[in-house]
Amino acid sequence: MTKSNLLIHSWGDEVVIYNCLSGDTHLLDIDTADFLDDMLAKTSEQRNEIVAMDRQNQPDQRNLQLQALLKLKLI
Amino acid sequence: MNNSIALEQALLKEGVYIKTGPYVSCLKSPITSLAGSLLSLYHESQISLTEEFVDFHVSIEYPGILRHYFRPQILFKFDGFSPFKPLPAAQVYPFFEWGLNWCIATNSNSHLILHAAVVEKNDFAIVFPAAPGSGKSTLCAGLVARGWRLLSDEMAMIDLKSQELTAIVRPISLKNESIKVIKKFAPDFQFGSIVHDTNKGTVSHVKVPSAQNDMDKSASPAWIVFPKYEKKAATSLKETSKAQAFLRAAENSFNYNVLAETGFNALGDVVEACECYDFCYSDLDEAIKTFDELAAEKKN
Repeated sequence: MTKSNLLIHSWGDEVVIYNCLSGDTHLLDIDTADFLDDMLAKTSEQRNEIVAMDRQNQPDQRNLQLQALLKLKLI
Repeated sequence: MNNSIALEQALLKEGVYIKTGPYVSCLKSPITSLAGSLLSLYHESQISLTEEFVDFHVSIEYPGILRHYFRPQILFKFDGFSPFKPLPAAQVYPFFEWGLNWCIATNSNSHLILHAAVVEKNDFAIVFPAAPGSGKSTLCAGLVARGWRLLSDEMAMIDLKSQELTAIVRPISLKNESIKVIKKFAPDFQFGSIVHDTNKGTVSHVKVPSAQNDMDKSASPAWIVFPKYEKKAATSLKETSKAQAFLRAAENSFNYNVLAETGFNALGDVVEACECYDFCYSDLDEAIKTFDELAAEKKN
């Protein structure tokens, strides 16, 4: 994980993430965790662009992952 | 040698020192019947009348002169502060144990504390995190009756540096049906008085067998098992994912949120080191056989 305020433990295809800023603990599947990792590697502008583009798209797996990460305030 | 009269006098004056794992509590009370309960449920080595360093200064008192005589009530105080509402005086001993639980759970941030029973065999420990009413204490008492060593029936104390489980041996608390079950299962166990109509129903405490003389020895966690008693259920031990076990253990923690990153890392290391299971049972003998087999496999 590239963001320093997130700590992780991963086991198999599940990842437990601790957000040091909020104190929240989350369980993500490995695909969503990989997607989070990708998103965190991008700049804020790039992330905003992806979120804006995603709003125009039909709901799909990636859309759900993005909504989950936004809801959990991980991005 | 502690005798009842000396203990009663100490309760009234300078206090009785009770050693539970790494903690010493000093108890004062005008309710001298507590002396008999302490003598019957704690080991002699755990009770002292000699002044020593105290972690928790506690007392159990009458809230006022009226409630001393009319429908008597009692208050638990920690450093002169009452964290709970008064309870009927008949509940004095369970109130002391619940109060002590509260003291440890709210003041011991050198450990990650889970609401869990812990027993050990062959140097490996099972942690049973569970909500009240899941059959955790019954299972724990059953295992102790068949040779497992008790570290705690209420709190798993995980050392933040070593991730070892610290023993905090105190009487096992049983509720409702489990009192009868354990009386039948372990007739040699020494029970305290049965107290009815508490917030938890009928409760009684059991003295930990004296054969367990290595009371303060810590143990390495080897299994995290989420127990559930279900009437007439077949015994089943099913592996559960470590990530799920982590979250469920964290939900059963008293201070995971307080410890923040340290708690996350400590719990992560413990989960990493353990096999994690869901366990459903109705038959205590079968349940014990299951864990004996698990311990034997680990030994080999």
